[in-house]
Amino acid sequence: MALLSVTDLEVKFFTRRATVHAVRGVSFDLEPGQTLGIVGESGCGKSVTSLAMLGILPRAGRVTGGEVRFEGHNLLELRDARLRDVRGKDIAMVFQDPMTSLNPSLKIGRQITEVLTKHLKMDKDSSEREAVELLGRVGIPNARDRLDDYPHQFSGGMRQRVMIAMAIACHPKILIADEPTTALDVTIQAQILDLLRRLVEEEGMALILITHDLGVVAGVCERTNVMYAGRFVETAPTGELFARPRHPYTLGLLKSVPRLDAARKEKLDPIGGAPPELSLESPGCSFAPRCAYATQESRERIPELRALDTKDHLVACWNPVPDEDLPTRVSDEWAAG
Amino acid sequence: MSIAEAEAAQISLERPSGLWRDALDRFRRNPGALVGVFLIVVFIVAALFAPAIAPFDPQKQVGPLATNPQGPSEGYLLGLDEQGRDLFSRIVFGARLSLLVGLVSVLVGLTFGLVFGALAGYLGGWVDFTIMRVMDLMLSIPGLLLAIGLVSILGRGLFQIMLAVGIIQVPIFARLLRGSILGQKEADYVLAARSVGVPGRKILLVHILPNSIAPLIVQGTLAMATAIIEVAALSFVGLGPRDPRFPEWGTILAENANRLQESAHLVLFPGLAIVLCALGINLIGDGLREAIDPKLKS
Amino acid sequence: MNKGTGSLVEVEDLNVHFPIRHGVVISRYIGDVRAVDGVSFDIKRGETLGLVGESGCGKTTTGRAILRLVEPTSGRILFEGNDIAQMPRKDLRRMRRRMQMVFQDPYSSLNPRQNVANIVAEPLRVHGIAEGREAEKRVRELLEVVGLPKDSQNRYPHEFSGGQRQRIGLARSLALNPDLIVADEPVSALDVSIQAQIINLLEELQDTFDLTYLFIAHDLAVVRHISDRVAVMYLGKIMEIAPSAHLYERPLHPYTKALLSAVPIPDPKVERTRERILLRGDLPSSVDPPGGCRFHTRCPWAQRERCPDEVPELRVLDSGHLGACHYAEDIEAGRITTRTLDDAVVVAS
Repeated sequence: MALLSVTDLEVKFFTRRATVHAVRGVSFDLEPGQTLGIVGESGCGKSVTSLAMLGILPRAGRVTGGEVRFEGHNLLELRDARLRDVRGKDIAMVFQDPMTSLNPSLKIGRQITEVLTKHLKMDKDSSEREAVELLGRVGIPNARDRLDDYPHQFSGGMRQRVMIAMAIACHPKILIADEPTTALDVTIQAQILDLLRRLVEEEGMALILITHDLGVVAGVCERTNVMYAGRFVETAPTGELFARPRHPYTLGLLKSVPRLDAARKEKLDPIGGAPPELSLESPGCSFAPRCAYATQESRERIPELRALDTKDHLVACWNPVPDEDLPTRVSDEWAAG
Repeated sequence: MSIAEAEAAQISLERPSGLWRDALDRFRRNPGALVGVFLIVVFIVAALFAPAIAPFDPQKQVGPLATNPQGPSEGYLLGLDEQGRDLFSRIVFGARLSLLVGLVSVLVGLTFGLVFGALAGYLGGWVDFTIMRVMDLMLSIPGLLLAIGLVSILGRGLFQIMLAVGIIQVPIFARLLRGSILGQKEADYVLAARSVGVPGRKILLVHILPNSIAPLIVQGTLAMATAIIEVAALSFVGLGPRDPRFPEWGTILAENANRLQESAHLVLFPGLAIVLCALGINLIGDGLREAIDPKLKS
Repeated sequence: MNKGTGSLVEVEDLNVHFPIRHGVVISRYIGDVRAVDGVSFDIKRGETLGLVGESGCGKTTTGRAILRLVEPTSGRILFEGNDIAQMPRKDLRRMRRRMQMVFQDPYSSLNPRQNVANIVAEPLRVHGIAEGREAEKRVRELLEVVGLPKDSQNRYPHEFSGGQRQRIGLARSLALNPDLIVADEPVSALDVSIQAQIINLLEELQDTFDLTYLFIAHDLAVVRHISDRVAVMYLGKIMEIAPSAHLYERPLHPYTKALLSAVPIPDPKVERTRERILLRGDLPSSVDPPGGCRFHTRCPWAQRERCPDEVPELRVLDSGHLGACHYAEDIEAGRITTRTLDDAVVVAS
């Protein structure tokens, strides 16, 4: 039985100008200890999905359909108090910008012990000891002294480590990391991703990693879901997804991103046009206007996720990418050279 | 067709919309702002058409002298004062004075505030330091006291009062503009203008100022409300405009303050006029702020 | 691509230091932020030189110093042989026509109160090149070249998307027919699928107009794709310069090796098997940088001899390949390996 089961989640934002359909029927399962990546560009709804699951949508947002089953309960139906118990304890979240997610006027030590005293009912001394240990686990030197520091006294990478420490404090079953390294320098990003990989293994927790960076999911996630305009368009084990990107959008993303290990070639293959307005409902596939494989049916009927190639590789497309158009494995050339 | 042309064809832009048009739209949809506009329009009409609207001459005695003047009654919409003058007419004519004072003093404050703020913000260095210290000094004295001081020096003519009330507004505007300018000075588009070779003067006028003005527009509106109240306050302490031809709301209030028990109408209605006028302006100011606030644009 | 052999820009020992003052009433001078600390390189006519590095390395400041948008503290910047670092303002204005800049943030690099026509025509008017009708015509041409629809002229920046705004910025930078364009992170703020469009456009424009680019970025994959040569900066100094392919396939400086190994590659097989060099700790402050080799505090190969006290000079390690490391050859030959006890960790997973 899956640890987390999301079915047909729908989220809308109600603004004066228009109603934005940010998430349009998203479903997925998460097994214990599994690392799942949700990849997509800005505005595709990937962050909103996780915020909706935990009941922390911004004011204008509302869940208009679906359910999120966790440990026998539908999280969407839980009352605030119960949800707050889950949030931070069983399901923890790490955000992109640690400066705004940490309280700038409270010492770090206080912010961590708060989590421990509230959720695990620890007393002051134990929580402090635990806090020191946590900071040590996430690689912050001189942990004891640093408990008395404020967020602004830490660098970006260090702050992110603190956030991660707070997130794993209660040994959550699921850790959701929303663009955790986007704002960080490349070498710091590598450190943080390595830390996440290590902690996921140590804690045996499941990880949902939300990002726009294909390289990041390639290195961290067992399974990857590709999101476009509020829906999952493809989901597969990561290796399978990169080897056989059957959805034209996935293929397009892979072809348009310059790779570090690729020999310098001619033009990149960008996806023409721009992502659609989420305030409009299109009758057919949202990607059709930009798709080289689109047909009349694509424009009229929204495709559902169906299994292709293997039973755990699902694609939502009427005309998936044929074999001859799949990318050749650059890695083979690289490995040889 | 080149790739560029193909991409150009794919871009569909909506109806052209200027920044001001968007702001106007937002303003129009704000119920508070509309109420404010309604209120102010009422007062403006009253001020402009005072002779036509007021049933009596505000200076003439039209009713009996009384120590206990009658309140709203037959023929006298808001009642009479103890000199037998029609209160409604006096209030209507008073609108002229209040609105005039509000407008002129804010113009004075804005003009000087703009100049000082621009110099301080753009030039920086000791110019900035000196100007800001002077502004700090002015701000450290409560507005009304400063106004009283200025009026004592300048005199009680209408113009002097407007000047005084205007001067106490200067530091707020100067600070606002300076802050705005400092913010814009480092913006990329200013850097871009420099890299193109645009001369400093032009950068200030064409690039920085237009983008720094918005907060001043809002503050200017709100300052009008403050000015009206300041003048009323000045009148209340006896330093209001001396011209008996124009009954200033504050003066009316002051004259009758001790009659609250018996002739409440003489205190209530001028007070209400002041409040509603200031309220209207504040509502408009808030509406403007929400309409112009760039955070609302994504 | 027309690549002449001459250098268009030569930077010699450029220093840009920002003084730090402390105190409210009386400010004391306490030190400098040494954003650019002794940097020398050249940009050949017609080429694209990539300048990469992480935050605080000084790449943006270097780009701005070349355009004299920040004042160099010392050093020479030769543009076609003329030293612009000390040039008086008057002459500088004329030089500005030859070099332009494209900025990172499409939302703040355009004046929100100017319409597109004014934004693009301003350079023409300021330098007296074109007015009125003439300017309008030129604006239309430029908009077409960057792929914007004709009716964009009367619209305002907020009506356009990020990618489109970058195109407007490009049109503006091309207005004066410059020789050099300094592109400061031109695609970092854009979505992945839009990045590719703009990168292609940049390459097209370079061909069409014989442009020379200084391409400043932190995304190493993008830089590799577009650059002929690449320079790597760390804490205000250049660590390595080499032709693109050489740098990426055979990096000789420890920092470059670590940097390259940190970049995620969209290929699970590669990610799982590649060798990672993880650096410990954070970037040191540029106010008080480490003595000797700046990188020695985090370098996996740092030695006790020379590294902590001797600043390595940027020297020739191979044809066209320069690096600032005392032990580059030893590391490459395998005579020095990473220290496994403390400091950095090499993980092969």
